[in-house]
Amino acid sequence: MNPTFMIAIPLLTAFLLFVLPKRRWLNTLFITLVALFTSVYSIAGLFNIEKSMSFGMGGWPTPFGINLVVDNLSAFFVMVTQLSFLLTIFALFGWYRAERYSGALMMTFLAAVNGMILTGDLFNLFVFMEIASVSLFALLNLRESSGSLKATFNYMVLNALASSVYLIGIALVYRATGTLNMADLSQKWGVISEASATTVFLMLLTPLLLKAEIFPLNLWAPRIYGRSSAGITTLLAGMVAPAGFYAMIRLFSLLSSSGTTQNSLLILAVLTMVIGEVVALTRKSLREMLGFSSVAGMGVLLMAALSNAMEGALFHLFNLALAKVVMFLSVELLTAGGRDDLESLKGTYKRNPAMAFVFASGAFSVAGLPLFAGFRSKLIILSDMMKAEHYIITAVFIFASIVEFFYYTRAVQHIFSSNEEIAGGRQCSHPLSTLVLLAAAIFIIFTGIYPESVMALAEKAQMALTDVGAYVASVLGGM
Amino acid sequence: MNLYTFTSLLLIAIGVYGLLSQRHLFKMLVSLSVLELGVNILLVSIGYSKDGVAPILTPPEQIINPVDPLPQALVLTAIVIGVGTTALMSAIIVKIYKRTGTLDLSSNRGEDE
Repeated sequence: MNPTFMIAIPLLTAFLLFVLPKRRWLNTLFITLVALFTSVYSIAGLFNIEKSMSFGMGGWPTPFGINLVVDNLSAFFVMVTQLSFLLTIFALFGWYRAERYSGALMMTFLAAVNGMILTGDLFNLFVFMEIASVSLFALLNLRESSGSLKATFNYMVLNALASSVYLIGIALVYRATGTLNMADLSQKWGVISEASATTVFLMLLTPLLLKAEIFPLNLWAPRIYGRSSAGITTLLAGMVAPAGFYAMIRLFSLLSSSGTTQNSLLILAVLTMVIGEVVALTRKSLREMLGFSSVAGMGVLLMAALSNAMEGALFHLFNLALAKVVMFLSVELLTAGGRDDLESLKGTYKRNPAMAFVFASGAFSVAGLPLFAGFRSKLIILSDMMKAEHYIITAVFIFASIVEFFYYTRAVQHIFSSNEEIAGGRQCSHPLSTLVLLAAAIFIIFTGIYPESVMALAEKAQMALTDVGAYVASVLGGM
Repeated sequence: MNLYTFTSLLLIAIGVYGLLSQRHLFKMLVSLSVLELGVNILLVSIGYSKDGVAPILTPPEQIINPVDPLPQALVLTAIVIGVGTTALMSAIIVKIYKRTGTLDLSSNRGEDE
């Protein structure tokens, strides 16, 4: 797979939309085609990767110019984000027809998220992070209210602060080592003294922790999830958070960090998980509940990644992204963008039984019910953490899972409970989006029963992550 | 520590103080801009060398004391990104004002939930 296409084609489309005739169906068609192309191309590429490949951009030799890296890990993450995007586009088909502006924003967003994952350069990562954030800020206000505007303002201020910290980190790295290429930097990282290395490492991690919704940098998340349209927050839970998580684990593997750093991050991850699950339990609004649950999910991933359960973490990331996207979208279609507190959900399954089924399969997957995909990945994380003798954290993880199981079952129970007041027959989703979401729900159950295919991909990705030598050799050409 | 690094750190400190102490939306935006300016000066100060020349259109053998051009390229990009975010933030602030009639972040006037 040539990574240039993954960035160039969405970016080109974003500008093409302004040249094409002003027809909504034409814009929608174009966006859908691009999303289909990037998904198919990334999945096809995923099965053809022998080893890590580096592509120098703009004719510069690699440590000096910007390079894009494709290996099993980055291809895996690109695949996850493409699937989230494709699902979102299809599911929103019914009520969302692309205006030029929002369509173009979606395209720049897609290009930037792909860039965040594929890039091999620290500064380029910063640029793509900013493009993704700016597009997202605008998209979050597609259906604007004073609540969503204020939440966005909050998010923007925090984001700008974190980016500034990252830039200072870049300045320090460049001063000490004279390079910003990640592979080159991993060779020269030893030049920096240990105390400064820890500081710089944490500075580089700051915006990534913010993107991956890790406590205490996730204070923006609840308001955004609660006040913005759920159709767009899927992009947050299914694309931005995985991309941030990817950049984080890539930095973990390339730049060695002290045990204290890893342990403190592990504590933050566990705190994220516990706080997220417990607060989700207390929420009345379904969107907010899902938001906190998504924060908790990212905590689980970081916790697993830091306690020797990387393979399970990657598999769980796939399941989590899919389930979250499916749940946010089905909530949007179930409630028709209206009230979403648990009481008003009573009996909604009569209104739209397909969406109720889709929501239930997503919820049970995240909650880790047997037969669903999330059960398999949680089991792998558990057994790997037990093998690595992290007993206390494992106990906390089990506690959090029980809480999670409880509130998801409660939500599903509310949706399926009978209520005389709601009359049937008010179908509000487009047949195509129903079909696509149903397919995704069936895929979740399929992965739960036959997890081997996705497991194999996660395993290959994990091997690519640990093989730092191959990564560096592919970028620097065996220097 | 040279004068440029000192200035940049001072600007960053002013920016952070402004962000923490102000509740007025536009004042927060201005604080952020000051902060970004400080970071940009820090980036440029890394490539600075006293009496250096910019290595543009000069034959390589004549360059004795070049200024590192890479941080300058980084800063150009960072400035462009900063302008973009500032513009978007101003737009959002204007929209908040139109909806709530106040520029005070802590006020709950006009909240629709």
